[in-house]
Amino acid sequence: MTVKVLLDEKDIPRQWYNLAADLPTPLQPPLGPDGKPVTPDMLAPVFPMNLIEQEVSQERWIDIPEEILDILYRWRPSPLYRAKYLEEALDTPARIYYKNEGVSPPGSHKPNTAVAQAWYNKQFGIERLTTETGAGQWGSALSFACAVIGLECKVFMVRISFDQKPFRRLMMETWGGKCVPSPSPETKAGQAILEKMPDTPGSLGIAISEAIEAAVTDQSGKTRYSLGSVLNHVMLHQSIIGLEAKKQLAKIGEDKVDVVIGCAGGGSNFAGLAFPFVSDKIAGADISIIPTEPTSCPTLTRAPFSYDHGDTACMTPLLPMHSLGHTFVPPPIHAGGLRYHGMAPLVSQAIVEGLMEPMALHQVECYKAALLWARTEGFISAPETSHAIAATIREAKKAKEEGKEKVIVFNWSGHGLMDLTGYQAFLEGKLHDYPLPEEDLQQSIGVMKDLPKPSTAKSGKW
Amino acid sequence: MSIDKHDKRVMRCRMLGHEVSFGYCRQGGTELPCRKIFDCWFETFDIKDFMQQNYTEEQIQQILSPPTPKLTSLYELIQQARKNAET
Repeated sequence: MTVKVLLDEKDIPRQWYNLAADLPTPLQPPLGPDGKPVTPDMLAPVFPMNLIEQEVSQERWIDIPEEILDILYRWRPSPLYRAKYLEEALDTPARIYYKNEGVSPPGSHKPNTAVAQAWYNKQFGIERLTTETGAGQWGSALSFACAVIGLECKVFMVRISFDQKPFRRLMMETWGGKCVPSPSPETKAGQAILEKMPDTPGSLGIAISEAIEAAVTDQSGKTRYSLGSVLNHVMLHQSIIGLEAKKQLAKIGEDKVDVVIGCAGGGSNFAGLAFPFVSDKIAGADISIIPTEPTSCPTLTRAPFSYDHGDTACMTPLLPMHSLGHTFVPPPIHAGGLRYHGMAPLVSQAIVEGLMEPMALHQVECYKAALLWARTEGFISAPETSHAIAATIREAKKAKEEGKEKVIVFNWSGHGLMDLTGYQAFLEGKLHDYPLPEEDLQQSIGVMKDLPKPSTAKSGKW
Repeated sequence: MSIDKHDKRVMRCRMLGHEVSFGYCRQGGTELPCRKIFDCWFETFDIKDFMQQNYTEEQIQQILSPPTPKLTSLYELIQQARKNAET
């Protein structure tokens, strides 16, 4: 049995896939404070025009410049693995495959877009990039990309993360990135916060403000900002994962995929694997496409606590839920709530269309899955990645119950070697699940039943 | 109820990508708690009751106000940065 399906460099995909071209219902343009659409020129102070063009593109295929491919060859095409040892442990008839995105120099899928963004900025004459980071996965990816492309990189790292994650900070500095704890005295946004709260641990919101300010106020005009998730051009760059996977599956004769799984935070690693398969689904293929997330702090499977229904223009919440006397349980999500979650709009719209079936998993199940994975396949997974593994195990067990030889593909988006404290807590028995009583769930659904339903654009085909 | 009663509880923050204490979620580097505080802690304890005990209705409204879409917020930050530069 083949364990690793490798693709020659000459066979790497030479175009990215843009789901925006195929969505049955187009994305609504984001609106500015004046209620008018945000136009490309409004974003020009932070992004180069070549990336803004990708952000708004409706072209299905966009050529990958050869110079970007030359950089990606350091680790791409990434191997597609057959998870034969996990299959044996589960005694499942399913054939499980996973893309190993942990083989990139920073150890995750993030460099797929970091390299592309750095390259396009360089082409535009930009000399330095700014960004924000929490634990440092994105900051280290961008630092790596800037190092190999020849840009300066400044990363505003949330202070609490700066203190808690010294190794990722050292990774950034090793690649030449300048890592600054945020809030910093370097920006007016940072100064204002420090003046009020000198000992603040910082937040992503402050770090973003600082990174934007550093780009916008650079008098040379040679600084721009870079974002590692959510935006359309990020999803585009990540599509190389799924495009490679399709070629690799074809290479070993797998012509029918039944289930595609990825963990969905901001959406980029999930989208990277899934979007090329969503294209097949739109064209009529029978595929289950499953974004996964934790039951705590859900973004896809439960509505946000704060609001539930938009007005007819889908722009404002009707009423905050707490004022309606709801329980503290966030109710199951409906399409209208998705837009508030910080999830990539392309992922949200695909869910609204019914092209995807989100799944939430409890943390203990995920850590159990990650341990089984480490003890069979060998790799130690990032905590987020463990959600995809847990969902894969569920699907593999389901295939066994049904007696079906399903083909399951998931994205192993990165290693967890910098995140071992979560494993420690699990191994010491300190992690617990908090299953919701069914009556609480029903009650929370019940209070919603008389509220107006949101106006949501969807084709109704799925 | 003491406002720091739950501060030592720990959870992985999806936004930051590492463990944080409830104290961080409550104070979060800003004057008000993180806007995800209800979504993240609802399984663990009665966060709604905690918030109502310790924050005014107006503050809770502010915490729960919906975030703007990413591109819109980026544009707003650009405008804010330009304004800061002028002062």
